Amino acid sequence: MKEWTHRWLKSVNHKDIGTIYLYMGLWSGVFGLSLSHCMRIELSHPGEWLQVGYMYHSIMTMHAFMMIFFFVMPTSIGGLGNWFIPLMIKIKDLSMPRLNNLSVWLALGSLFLMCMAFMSSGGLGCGWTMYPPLSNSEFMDGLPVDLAVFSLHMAGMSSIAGSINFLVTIFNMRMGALFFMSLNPMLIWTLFGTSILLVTSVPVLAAGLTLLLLDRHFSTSFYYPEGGGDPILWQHLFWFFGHPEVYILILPAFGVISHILCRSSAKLHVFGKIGMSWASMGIAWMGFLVWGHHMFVAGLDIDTRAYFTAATLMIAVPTGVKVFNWLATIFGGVYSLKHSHPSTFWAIGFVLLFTIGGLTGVILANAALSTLLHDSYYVVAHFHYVLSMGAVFAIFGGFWFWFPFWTGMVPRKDLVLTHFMLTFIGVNFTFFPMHWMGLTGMPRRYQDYPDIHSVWQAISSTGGFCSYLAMGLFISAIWEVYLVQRPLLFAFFVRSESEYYGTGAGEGNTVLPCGSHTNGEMPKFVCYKHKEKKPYYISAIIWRFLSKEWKPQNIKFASPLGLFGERVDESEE
Amino acid sequence: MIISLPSLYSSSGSSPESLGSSPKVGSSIKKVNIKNSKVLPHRYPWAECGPSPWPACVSIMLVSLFIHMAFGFNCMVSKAELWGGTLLMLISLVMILWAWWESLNLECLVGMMTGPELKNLKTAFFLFLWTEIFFFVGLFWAFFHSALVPSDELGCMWPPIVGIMPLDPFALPLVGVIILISSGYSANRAVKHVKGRYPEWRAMGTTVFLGVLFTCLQLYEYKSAGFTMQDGIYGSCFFVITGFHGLHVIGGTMFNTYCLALMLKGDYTPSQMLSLRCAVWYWHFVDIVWIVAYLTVYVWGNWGMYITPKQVWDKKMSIYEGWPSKEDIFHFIFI
Repeated sequence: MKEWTHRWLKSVNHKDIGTIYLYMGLWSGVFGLSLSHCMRIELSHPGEWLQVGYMYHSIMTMHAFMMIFFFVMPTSIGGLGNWFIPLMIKIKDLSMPRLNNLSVWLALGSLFLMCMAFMSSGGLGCGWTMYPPLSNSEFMDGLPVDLAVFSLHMAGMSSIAGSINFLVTIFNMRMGALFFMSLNPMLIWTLFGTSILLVTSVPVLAAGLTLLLLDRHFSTSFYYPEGGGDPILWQHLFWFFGHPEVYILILPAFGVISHILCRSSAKLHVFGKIGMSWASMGIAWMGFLVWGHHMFVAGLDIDTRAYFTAATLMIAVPTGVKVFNWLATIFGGVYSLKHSHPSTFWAIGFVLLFTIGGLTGVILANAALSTLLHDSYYVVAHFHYVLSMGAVFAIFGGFWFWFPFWTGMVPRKDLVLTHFMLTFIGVNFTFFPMHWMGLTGMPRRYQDYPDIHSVWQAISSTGGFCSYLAMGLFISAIWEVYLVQRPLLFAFFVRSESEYYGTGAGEGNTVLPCGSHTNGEMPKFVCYKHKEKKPYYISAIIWRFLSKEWKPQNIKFASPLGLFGERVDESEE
Repeated sequence: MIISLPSLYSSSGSSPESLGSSPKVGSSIKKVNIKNSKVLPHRYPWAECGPSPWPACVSIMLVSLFIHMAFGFNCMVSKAELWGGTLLMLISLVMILWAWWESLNLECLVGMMTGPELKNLKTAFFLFLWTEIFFFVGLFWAFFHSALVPSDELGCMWPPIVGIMPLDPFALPLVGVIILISSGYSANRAVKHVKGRYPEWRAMGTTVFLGVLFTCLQLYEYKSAGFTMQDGIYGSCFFVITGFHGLHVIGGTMFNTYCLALMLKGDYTPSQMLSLRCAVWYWHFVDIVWIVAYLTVYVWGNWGMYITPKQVWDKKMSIYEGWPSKEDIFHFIFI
């Protein structure tokens, strides 16, 4: 018992904490999926199945909260981040293990509070955006909103604690050779960006939530026009958090996809690694500058809307860099239904469907179009394509990619593949018709609709049922692998990748699953000479250009042969 | 509490492995360019900590506190129960954190706080301050959102045309600025004394005293203000910004007091004084927030419309007495 409490309750081990996060994410994900299934049943035909409209809103709100704050964030940031940041940086643990434990406990407490909000006095029906006239005490009196506000406060503290930990680890505890630019794995880069977004945007949400709470119970008038306040203020504060939040959700997914793709096409690195890294950083930075595109119908003036349109369209540039680099990474790899790893399918599905979501995002970025499509099913389709088929596909892919690493066991491939196929078909049937429904005027957050939408809604619900079945397959696959305990014979990781995960054993010896403490000793780096300064400084590049070292034979261009998998040996010089 | 000591922080030159493998290591190190490279110790330089019950306790306490507050806000318990319970839970939260910090102190005393470990904590504290800054960014956003373009309900004026008697920024608030800046100076002196190996309590004691003085001053100002938090957006912004700043002052004063106690105990040495430095950084942060609040909320926000709190206190009067007149109000509302 003491061992058990030491390991799980008072845990200071990044692997155990990551596992707790993964379990928590799995639970909330299944909960959120069930809620979405309730919505699909309600919407499968005209008329009211749930009878109480507030119930539908409550389910919808809880679906959003569960998926965003308690499924994707704990899984991709908490789970993968905790597991892989220390391993990829090759250190024993994160910088502050107790703070890490605090983070996971705050997340669990926050989940508890959110479930309480869902279950008390009729549920939480204000939508995850909690816009004030609706979430004020006049319109939504009672426990649920307060509990949700407190829950978000706790979730915010949890994220801040976790991301401070990540940032300190990535800043200070890299090995000397890991210059930021060159050698950090992509997952480290993306989690770094995610953590920066979290420590900057979450406090602003905390301020907004505090003001909401004061408005509700202490008679202040921040969001009351009667007292000179403004409900739009909430939208600004919320979306200043909310837009970085969507990059918080998708950035770790980008990292996961980069890892999977460069393994599945047997490349040493993802194509254009430095460009990929800086694209992640660029997305993170620009994420702060575009929150207004959620508020195009809130009465912003035309200049502001023009700015937010332009800024939002610019985010397509680094995102495009990433997508094209993934395509270039895929190019030249050998892919087959029979031999490819299951995670490969998730990754390719990600690239395909995330791109569709990104393209509808470009459409929605235009203020003129967004005014028409605002709060329609088109928006629902858009963000489900980027999140439900972006972030979630990456999580599934990452899960199966690293499952042998976590457990030393291999799942049944046909189950996993069938899960992928069913999910792929299901989500596309669910969400693609939503584009058309949105274009024909079906608004978000309504439980009933005119008969004209009934065909597409029925198809959408069928797709939803399909992906619900697929979830059953996913759980069966996990159950089966724990039952049969099929051991791993040959790691999918090639050596350069397995070097990331120092398992404490000798070089090249990957004993899986690894022990609970790895990297007890650090590899020693004695000094190394640099002929030139760090080449990523623009001044250094200019210096190289001007100096006599600039001779044609010293210039290395990417050989077109490199695209076909021929390795350019860099150690030659 | 399990404490495991970290392995010694050994430089590469003296580590037995490198000496054994090549005897020329010492000479080869001199040749390389130190500026562009980093020698890492072979041994793991960061401390390893044992399992700790405090994080779970903090979480459980926070959940109880939040549930209690939610019930209290919705009038399911009486006011006395609400605030009494909240106070009790906050006290127990502080006690849990205290226990946590005590274990940190213990680790510091047994030598687990190596240089790299202290660097980590320092970076973490700066990131914490970064989050605090952005919390205040949110609050000031609310202020500027309303003050830059005052709505019709306020008469398109800031401070609002009716009902608000703003405080004179060059009276009590200016005293507050002076108090906080001088307390920042004395806090710096405290660090300097510890650095110079002559720790003494007076500088830190002055800081704590000035912090308490500032809190009292704020309470007096709140009492003498001619408006409350419920008086429209002006009162809301004023009281929430200064109130959250005041809460941070109280927290900072507690932190400073804790450091003063450690200083009196003699725990600080020039190399092991991170909590003192953190307290001082935190205090400077509080200081800067107050200067920003002073310049924006008090000076810029009240420009041209002052009334001294003393006037309000003594005479219960307003410089706007008799203005706006009934005709003006009628004009404003109906025309």
